[in-house]
Amino acid sequence: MATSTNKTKIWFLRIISSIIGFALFAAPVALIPRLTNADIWDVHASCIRMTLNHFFNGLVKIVKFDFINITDDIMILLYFLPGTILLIVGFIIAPLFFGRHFCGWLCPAGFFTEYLNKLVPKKLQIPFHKLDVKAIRYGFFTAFLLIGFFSLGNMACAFCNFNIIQGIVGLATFNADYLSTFGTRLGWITLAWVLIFGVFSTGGRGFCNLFCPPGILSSLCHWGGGKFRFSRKIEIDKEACDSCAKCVPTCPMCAVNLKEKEIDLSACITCHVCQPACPKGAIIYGKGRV
Amino acid sequence: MKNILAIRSLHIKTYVATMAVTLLGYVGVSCSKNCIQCYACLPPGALVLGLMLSKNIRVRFQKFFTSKKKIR
Repeated sequence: MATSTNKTKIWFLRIISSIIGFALFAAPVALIPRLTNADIWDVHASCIRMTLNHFFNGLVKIVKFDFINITDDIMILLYFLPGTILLIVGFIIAPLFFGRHFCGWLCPAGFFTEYLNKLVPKKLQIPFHKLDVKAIRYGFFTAFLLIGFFSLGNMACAFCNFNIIQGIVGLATFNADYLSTFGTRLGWITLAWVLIFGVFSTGGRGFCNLFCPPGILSSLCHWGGGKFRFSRKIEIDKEACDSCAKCVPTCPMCAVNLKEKEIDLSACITCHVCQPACPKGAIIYGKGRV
Repeated sequence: MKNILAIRSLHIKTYVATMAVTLLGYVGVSCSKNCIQCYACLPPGALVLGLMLSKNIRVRFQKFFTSKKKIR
């Protein structure tokens, strides 16, 4: 069941996959929007926040037997079709069976903060994972969904880290259209969020851990799927583990609980970085319980 | 048992507080009546909440600044 991995191989594959992630979703390449002939040729074509919001609103309307107004939600889901497919496959089905590979291997926003975090001295990194992460994460997510539920509006574009990352990449490639990203107060505030909660957080994935709505949905699916034997997940072999703690600092999501010798499945993004760090080979990716 | 209850109670408080800050920030109650949905009220609220709740972060900041003073 154990996989033979090493640190260099994992990091090489992650760097390659992050480049593929940028090329697939973000301008200037944005392969998915171009292949699907979407109207917008950047991350907005495969927006997963907007689709998540309208997916939830549609479900609520089905429960309420409100089949007249549901067409608005369906139209939005069809407009952002790559995002809708990505949401269902990458954030609901895949985490249930295999783990959060999109977050750990393809997400351009997550990689951006994670890589920049490597330049931040340990002393300046803020340990947000020591907060009551689950309460903040699910509290924010509930509010995100409730705003749509009570028809107060749509919070999908508020604090969208994808928008900020696209703005930075767009400006770096001398595309003046992306100047508008930072032309509003919301743009600057979201940039501050990305810096404080992302780049300056321990591991560089604080934003993903606390405030990414699709990420939170996939974390719920991965945590739920982890309860069943069919689900593949990263686990610690408690008998083989000698609590050397070498895996702890490698985890970008700070998901390793050394006291219980467990990996928090609601935080784990299945990046496999912890596996080669273990000298005993006690960290395993596989089905069922160890 | 008391400890478990205390932890759960803090967990629920944090959950409700985060939800409330997000909702209030969005609706714009904390800034003005003419909300243009700039969400400017939200990050300070969330940051203050985070810093208030986290003893570890407070201690870390204190240690950071005190160690700097000692060097000077």
